[in-house]
Amino acid sequence: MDLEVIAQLTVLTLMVVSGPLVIVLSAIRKGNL
Amino acid sequence: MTIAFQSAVFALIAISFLLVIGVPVALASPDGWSSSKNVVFSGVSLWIGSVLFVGILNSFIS
Repeated sequence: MDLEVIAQLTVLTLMVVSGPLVIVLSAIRKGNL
Repeated sequence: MTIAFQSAVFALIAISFLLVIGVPVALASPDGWSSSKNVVFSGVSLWIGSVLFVGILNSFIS
């Protein structure tokens, strides 16, 4: 696999994961969900 | 010059990711918006500067 494709897939994974990560972090900090 | 451009783009992506995570968490945190206001404003300023920097560097690569 090309390095470019790996970089694109990595950034896509970060973007997809960031949504649930916000929920988890906010729940840990007992934020106003 | 290409490596500088690539580094700037990587920094922009990293700052964007941190802001996407950090801003909603800061806004929903029980301490309130006021305690993390300075960090958010600094991050946003850094992001805007990074966008302009990438745009300028883009003119110097082939």
